[in-house]
Amino acid sequence: MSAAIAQTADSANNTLLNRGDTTQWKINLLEEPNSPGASLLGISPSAVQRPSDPTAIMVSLLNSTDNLTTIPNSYAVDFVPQWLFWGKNVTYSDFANDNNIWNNIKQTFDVSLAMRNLKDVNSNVVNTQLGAGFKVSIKRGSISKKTQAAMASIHTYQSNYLALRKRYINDAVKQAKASGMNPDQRNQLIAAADQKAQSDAKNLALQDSIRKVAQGLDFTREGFMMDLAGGFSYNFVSQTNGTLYNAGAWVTAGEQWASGIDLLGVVRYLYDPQNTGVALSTTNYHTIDAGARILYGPQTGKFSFGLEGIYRKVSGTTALNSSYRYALTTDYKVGTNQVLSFNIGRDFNGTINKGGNLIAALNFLIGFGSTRPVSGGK
Amino acid sequence: MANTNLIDSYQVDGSSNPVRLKVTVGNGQTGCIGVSIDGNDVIKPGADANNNYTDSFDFEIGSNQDLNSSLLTIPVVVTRVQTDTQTTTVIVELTGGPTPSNYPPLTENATNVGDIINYLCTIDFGN
Repeated sequence: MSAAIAQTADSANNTLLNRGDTTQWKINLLEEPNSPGASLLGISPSAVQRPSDPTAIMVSLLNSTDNLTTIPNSYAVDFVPQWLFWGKNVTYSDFANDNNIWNNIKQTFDVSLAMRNLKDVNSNVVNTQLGAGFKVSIKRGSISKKTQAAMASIHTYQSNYLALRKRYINDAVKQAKASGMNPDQRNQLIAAADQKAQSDAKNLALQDSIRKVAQGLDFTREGFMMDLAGGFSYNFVSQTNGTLYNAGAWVTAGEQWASGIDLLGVVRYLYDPQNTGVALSTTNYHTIDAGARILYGPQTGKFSFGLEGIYRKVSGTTALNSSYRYALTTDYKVGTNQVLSFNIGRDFNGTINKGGNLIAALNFLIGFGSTRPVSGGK
Repeated sequence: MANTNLIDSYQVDGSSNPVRLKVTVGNGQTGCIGVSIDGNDVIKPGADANNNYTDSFDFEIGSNQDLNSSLLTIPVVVTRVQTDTQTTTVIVELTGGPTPSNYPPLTENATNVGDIINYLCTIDFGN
């Protein structure tokens, strides 16, 4: 298992390193894949996903089980081109502002790829399913007032810090000009003055103040949010013949409150959704889902608890009836790369599902340790 | 803590055409930017009480002929506030002279959230 994951991460690493860039991004191997690709393959624990600020790149490994004896059979990779390749152009103001729709779209356009292997217990044939999709936030909520106030404090400290640096530098420039120094001498004088300003006791104290405030920042967003997502997946029988497995598009919208309570609704269209678990269909049919999810758990907190229900209307076939799904989902973040989760509920086909990665999490903990940095674009 | 410096020049001509300066603190980090010409602060709308600017700006700093033989200094302090990336970046662009500048982005990693990175750009105007 370690080798498989190392290969995944190293491939990403090599690809990005070849671009000659040095940005480092953090990958949380156990983060819930809040991605359409994973949703279409049915490897996302929740059907109604909470809008959130995407990270530049995220790798998820799910369903590692069989009593710690097999490699994970489901993978999801998500990346956000704007942050991964053009992050150098994104200012904090761009990041924090929710009013500019185009800005929101650019920063949150998330490309997702997912894969899972399914083994037929009767024939021993292994089918591979590949999913691809996108997700974008039209509205993503506002940074909390508490964080806005903290950022204002940082700006004040920074400005006072810079004022002292600027005074030393400007004095050096004027001194160099008055004494007719050549550019090399002048630049040395400016650099020395800047170093002196940075180590000034006032600036050292300001650095401490900045650090203390910044380390307590929480970029939880509040207010109205709306995500659009879509994608498709292919099923490769015996890992060779590819056929369309399903395709769909959906809208998730709702409100997030500062208390950590979210109320979200989803409307979803799916074409030929054979991943319901019912016998494979020979006809092309369609479903429209409508549902809601209530979730408690601050985004930066360790624990979250949710309840969701979705009604599915089926058309284009008489073999399937309209149905519903409900699920209770719980997650506890033990630490970076360590998440315990447990889900229970009824799926559309009427089966009662119990799932989670309680055992898998322990396995990841032993196998991988903590954060895996990946070098990427700036 | 690290310093990243840019020491370069920018060609101006004898015209009265305005020269624009654009500075961007990227990667979603927050920064404070100062601008001085020959040791005197450049004060434009958006400046704070210390004549500094937050995160980014794009404004005229003078005409080609007025800037000739002067020195532009741009000290920047950037604080890492993003948990997902260590990278801090400052991009400096000058336009309005015979050709636009093509300075490489300045970049440095900040190990921890709350760490600051000091940047300093020193640019001579000449023809």
